[in-house]
Amino acid sequence: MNEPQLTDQELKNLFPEIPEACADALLSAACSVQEEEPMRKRMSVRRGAVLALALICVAAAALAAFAPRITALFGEHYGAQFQTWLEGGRAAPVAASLTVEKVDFALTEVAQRNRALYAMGTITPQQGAVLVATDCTTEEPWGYDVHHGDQAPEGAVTIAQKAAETGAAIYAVDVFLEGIGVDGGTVLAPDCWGYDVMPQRDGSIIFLLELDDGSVVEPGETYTLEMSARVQQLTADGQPSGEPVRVTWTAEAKPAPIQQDKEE
Amino acid sequence: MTKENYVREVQRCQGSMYRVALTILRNDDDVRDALQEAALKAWEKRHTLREEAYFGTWMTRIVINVCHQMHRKRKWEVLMDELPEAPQPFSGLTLRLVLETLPEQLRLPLVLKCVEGMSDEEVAGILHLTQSAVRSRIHRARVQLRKELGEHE
Repeated sequence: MNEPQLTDQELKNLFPEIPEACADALLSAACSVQEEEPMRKRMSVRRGAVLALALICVAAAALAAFAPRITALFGEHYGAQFQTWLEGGRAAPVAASLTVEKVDFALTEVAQRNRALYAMGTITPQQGAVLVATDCTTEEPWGYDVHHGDQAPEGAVTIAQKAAETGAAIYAVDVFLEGIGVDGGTVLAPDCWGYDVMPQRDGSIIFLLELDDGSVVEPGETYTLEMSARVQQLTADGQPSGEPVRVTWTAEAKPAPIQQDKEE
Repeated sequence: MTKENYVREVQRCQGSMYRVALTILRNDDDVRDALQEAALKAWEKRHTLREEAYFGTWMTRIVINVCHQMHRKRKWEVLMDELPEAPQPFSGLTLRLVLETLPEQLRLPLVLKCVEGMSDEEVAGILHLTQSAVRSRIHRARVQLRKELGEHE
């Protein structure tokens, strides 16, 4: 059988022109907005508060004897320039963990700069468990981050094979960012957040959470992260077995400047 | 940004906004609501647009956020295994139907890159993914589409 062609043009052709009703509704909404600019003034007040907080944080910098791993991890993904930018912000170690079924979840570090917030953590299987990360399958090599270019050697065991070898149960695992609170204020549910996973050689998974600059996160001193951890047992061929278990979980972080001379 | 500029930019981007919303929501009624909501929300958030040259990608992110909010209001999960069921089972097969069988995590990067012509960097920025994750998802989307199309030729 010949492999079907799949050009960008074919994909473009799938979509019809915007229907008149949609175009009218959109234009009507755009034309209904009021031309006033209260936001800019509010922002400048907030920026003042940020600077004040940043100065307070400089005084607390002596306590920040901690070399964050999170900046290097995001640097691997986004490049050295991004890492340098993030190192000009603040970070904190976090110790917040949770066990669901035979899986341990831990949030380990948070970094923040401007209105961006980044977090990392680990998902670790207990004895008798093998993990499948988000977007991965039981047929992928166990312990290799193939979606980020990690090359598994020929003959590497799959997740399903690893589970069979050790008699372990297979769990699909996810972490969700449910909300962010700043300085004890209202916890906001972010519209859109980034999530990435990196399977490790020992079968654990590093997860990354990201709310990029311009998000709902206002700069503050203390951040409360509301998350949930979800565990779904799978069969060897990757089908769900039983009901998923989802448990909420909260962590608090008080970031301090990573490098005083780069702090804004 | 003046209101006049804003309306002009919205008109310029309306096709792209429609396709992105349709990729997530899959029906015109919901898309119409989402586009209206996005147009209002974008104006409220216009101070976050640093350069008008980036209006398109900035607006795309807002459209995606609004669509996801609509998902959440209906208590839909955005995980692969919990997406609404795809059309069954390839009757009157078209590429469109096959595209709809892809989970959103694969479908949306593919549409942003291949239909909207965005760069990996832009797609990564909009979806809060790494560029390698974007490339990986687009590759997997293409592989899956080709496989499905091949099986149903």
